[in-house]
Amino acid sequence: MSSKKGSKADAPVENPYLAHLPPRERIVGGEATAQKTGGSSGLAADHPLANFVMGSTTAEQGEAAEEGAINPFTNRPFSDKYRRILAGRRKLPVNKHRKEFLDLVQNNQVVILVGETGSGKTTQIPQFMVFDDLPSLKGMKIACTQPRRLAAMSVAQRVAEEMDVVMGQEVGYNIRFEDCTSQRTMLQYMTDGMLLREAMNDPLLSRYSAVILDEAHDRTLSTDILMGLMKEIIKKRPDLKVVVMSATLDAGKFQKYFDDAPLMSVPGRTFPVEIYYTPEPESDYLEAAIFTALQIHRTEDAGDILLFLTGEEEIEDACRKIKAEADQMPDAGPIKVLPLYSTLPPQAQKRIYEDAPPPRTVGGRPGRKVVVSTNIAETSLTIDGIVYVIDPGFSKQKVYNPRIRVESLLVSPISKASAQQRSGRAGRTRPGKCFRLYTENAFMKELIETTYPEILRSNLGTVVLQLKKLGIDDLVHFDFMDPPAPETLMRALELLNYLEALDDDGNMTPLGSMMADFPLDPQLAKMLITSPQYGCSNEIMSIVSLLNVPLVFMRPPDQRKMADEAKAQFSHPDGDHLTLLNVYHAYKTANEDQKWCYDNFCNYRTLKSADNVRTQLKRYMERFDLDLVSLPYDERPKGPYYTGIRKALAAGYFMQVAHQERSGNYLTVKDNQVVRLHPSSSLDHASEWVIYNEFVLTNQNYIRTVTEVKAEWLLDIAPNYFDLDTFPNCEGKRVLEKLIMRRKSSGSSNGRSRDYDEDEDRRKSRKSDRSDRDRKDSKRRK
Amino acid sequence: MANPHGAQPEEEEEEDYMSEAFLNNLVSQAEKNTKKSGVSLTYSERRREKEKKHLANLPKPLHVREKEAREQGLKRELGEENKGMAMLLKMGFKKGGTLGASQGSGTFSPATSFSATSSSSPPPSELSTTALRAPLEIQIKQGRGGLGMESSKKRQLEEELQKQESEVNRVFDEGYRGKKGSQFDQEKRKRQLLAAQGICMRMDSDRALAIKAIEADLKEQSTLAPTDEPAESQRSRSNEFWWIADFVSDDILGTRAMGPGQVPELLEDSPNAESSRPFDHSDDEDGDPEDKRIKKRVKIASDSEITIGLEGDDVTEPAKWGERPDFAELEVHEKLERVVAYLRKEFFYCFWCSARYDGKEDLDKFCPGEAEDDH
Repeated sequence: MSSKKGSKADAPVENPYLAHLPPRERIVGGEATAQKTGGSSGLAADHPLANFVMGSTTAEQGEAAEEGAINPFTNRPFSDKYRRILAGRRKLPVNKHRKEFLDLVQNNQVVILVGETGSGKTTQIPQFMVFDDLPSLKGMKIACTQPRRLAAMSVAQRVAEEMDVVMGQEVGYNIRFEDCTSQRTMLQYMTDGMLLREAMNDPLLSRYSAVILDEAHDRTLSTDILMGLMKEIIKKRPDLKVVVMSATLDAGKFQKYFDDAPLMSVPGRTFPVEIYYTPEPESDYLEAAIFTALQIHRTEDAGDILLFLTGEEEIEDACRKIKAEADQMPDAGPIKVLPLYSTLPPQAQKRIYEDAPPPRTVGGRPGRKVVVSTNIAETSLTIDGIVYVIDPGFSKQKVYNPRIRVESLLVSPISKASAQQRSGRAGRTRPGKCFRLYTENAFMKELIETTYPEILRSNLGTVVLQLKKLGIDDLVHFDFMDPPAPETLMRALELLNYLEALDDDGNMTPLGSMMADFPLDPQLAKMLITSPQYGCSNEIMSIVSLLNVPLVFMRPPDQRKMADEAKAQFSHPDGDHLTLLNVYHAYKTANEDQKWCYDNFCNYRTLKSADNVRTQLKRYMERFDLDLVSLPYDERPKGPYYTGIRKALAAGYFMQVAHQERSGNYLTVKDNQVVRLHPSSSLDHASEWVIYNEFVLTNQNYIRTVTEVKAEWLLDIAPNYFDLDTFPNCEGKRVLEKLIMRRKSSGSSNGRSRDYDEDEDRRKSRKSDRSDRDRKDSKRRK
Repeated sequence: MANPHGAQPEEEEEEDYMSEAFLNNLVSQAEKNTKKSGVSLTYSERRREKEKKHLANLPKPLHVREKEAREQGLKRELGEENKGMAMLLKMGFKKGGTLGASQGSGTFSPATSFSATSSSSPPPSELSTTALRAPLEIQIKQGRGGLGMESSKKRQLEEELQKQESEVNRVFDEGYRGKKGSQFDQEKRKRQLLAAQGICMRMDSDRALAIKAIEADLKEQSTLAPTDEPAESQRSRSNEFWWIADFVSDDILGTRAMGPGQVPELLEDSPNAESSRPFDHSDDEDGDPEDKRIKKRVKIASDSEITIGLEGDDVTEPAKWGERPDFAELEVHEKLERVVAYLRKEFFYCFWCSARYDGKEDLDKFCPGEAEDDH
């Protein structure tokens, strides 16, 4: 079996730019480093892996190789650091189960592995696989998926150290817009979304000898789809090993899904955790959380605190308050309060691993570390030293509703499973305590059993396009682990149809195929692909890049005014997309200077990664032979520069349009949702029609990242979507009706050839035009 | 099946206590209760109704419109008009069905609950995959209330409202309405009672030939009176006393003096008898016909000295009603009922028709019924 596998790919020199293609097409120049494979590894007799038989090694063999003098993968001697780390690795709970695991994986195609966080499964299991499967000898690699970019990066880094190799060589990671692998890579950590993306162009995942789906309990959209795909792929690739790893005992569900695959369970290193509930519901969970943290700090024994909150703002707020209060306490030890959330810069994130401060005096009250985190500390990160957990019972969760097409992050109650996971974090180093800021009754009655998988809470536009690209046509009967609502799929199909990615029968169009290749939402992909028609692909590329990174504008709580003033210099009156473009241009003009960013309250890291994204997108554009063009920048004020860009934006976002009503607020087109502009918007004049990036639900309905467009453009760009028969009754419909009538009467050619100048004129005169319209409207009503 | 997807029904049906729907629900419940108790709308209720209508016509604040549009939108299921639906149908989707591999293979059991949360329904064969029929609901959390705060507040609010409601109902049923809310009704009843009692007295007197002289006089006077006596003067209250005086005079005439114009215990509920009188006069429209009839016969002599004991009723009624020693303690409408029934039984006189029939058969034939409502 192993020899067959081995001969399949002849470890070639690959063109890294062709990484999207199946291995055979990637080869640059022939045989190069092709490694011979055979019943044994075909290596020199004194090589550490000389006696290894692919797929039937033993735990002892693997351990011996790890403890040898020479690194079998680099042929260099192991470093001292390696040996130190190895000693620690041997103590991990999962290490005791190496033999059991190898037995299972050698005899089964799919294995489910349950291991508590901290059992070492994420770092060790892939290494066990590497020593058994020996992907390096057959020019293949092992993929280990992670739901989070950060986790993929940090785990890859750790494992590279553990294996004493250079990161990006034998061990690497691949996340969207950031590929840190080489042709030598045999173990690749990647986001689940990336693997899904790779599957689109390599439907059998032929580059991989094994796929490990880690953190499957997170049930991210991509992991769910990947699991469905894996079920299909393993039928066609009997040599492919699949390991599904989950942190919770809910694994029975995975087991059943994979036709009763064997289940292996690795107990974590856990100590008992005492759980405390509040006698009465809290009236303010944030205050209660801060109070509890301070109370622990003052009265409890040494041990760090982990506090779960919902978002950046709340976390920063809590950090400040805890720090300020604790510093006032004469009878308590020193305190170090650290925030943790995904948009925090990596260096700042790493601070959570710092030790607690020492007591002020010898024998004084112990110092304490308090980590205030979102639910990323729930499963994916392990912080040692945590003894006290404070759980207010909330997290920010994505919601999507196809009926009003809203996708938003909302603060919602967690599930019982999450609550258990959270409390478990207290028992990692010694017996701990978990303070739940809700009543036991609320725990029993108000919390759902497990968090709804993301697939039930997401827009499926991207996924459907990917599945189509994968050749899965029957989406209705796709083996979803938890099938989403039909209406969600309906919306996705509708979107792709209007974007012309799918035809009316649901078949993928060439445009759709191209769109699927872009690592972007379908709307943005469409925008980018059609942007050369509007003569502004360079600009759209910049805008799209900035839309794919976190917010560039910094707004520190103590310098809000200055930050707003700094932002104002980039503001474009016609909308936020153009403001983003201004920022990008300014950043480039300032030679990507970090100080410039700091002075102007722009996030340097974000801009840098946006620039990186742009480089990647440019590569895609070139690959598809799309023109990289710009409109005359010097003629901005009068010329078509901004108008062209706005038209191109509308070409992607014509389904996210809102119309301003006479009452002043906006109404989303077709869904008639009452929304208002997000306060951060730079749009400075009343704009009758706007496109928006996001429809956000908070206490109020907001549309965020907004740019003004013209009704005429919308009718030209998407006549199908703006078919008035499909419109509910609303002001916008009447305006469009009138517009169509006017166009008909003034001759059909006129409507299409409106000039940019004319647009500008009309904007100025629109006010009178509008009141005129209002008059007519009221007359008609009479 | 009615439950579109997994989540437990109780929670879904419960409206957010902050939401308008919740309040509306309470209002409509309250309305239902009011209607149930069979009481017509009071003026203030009508006014409130009007105000509500007025408010509804005013432009609503933005956040309210947002919320309404959202709630409406979330309820609106996507259907035929959606292009995606047509595409989905082409892929083999059946309307009202769900997605997923198990669909159509016959092994699929309708989704009950996505890993059930409610304690009432047992978890559906714990590991079964459940397909959503409808999108998950969106719950928007307001403020920083801790977990369980909202539901506990909601519970409290509900309890409080319930308490209030039952309090209102109690007050309505027991006394409030009797004292204030329906004073009008009560007064009317009292007048009717007096009228009926008057008739009763006359008829009794007519029947009993061994009647006192004063009564005979009175009778004469009243037979003379009808044509020339203006209605206003006839409306004087004194006839009631006359009747009562006469009524009691059978036995204990002269126990206590009572001035004319004073209202005896029949108006015991009014703190001030004087004040209730003009009220009576103005609203006595439907009492008129029978009143006239009585007044024709009962000549008022407001200056005549009649003595009457307030306790007279207590003393006399037992004699009168025999088996009903508690007549005085009865509610006015009950008293009225009894008097009316007595008149029917004894004299074939229907108080509501204001007519005396020739006999039981005649009464049964021509009188619509015993109750006022029948007329």
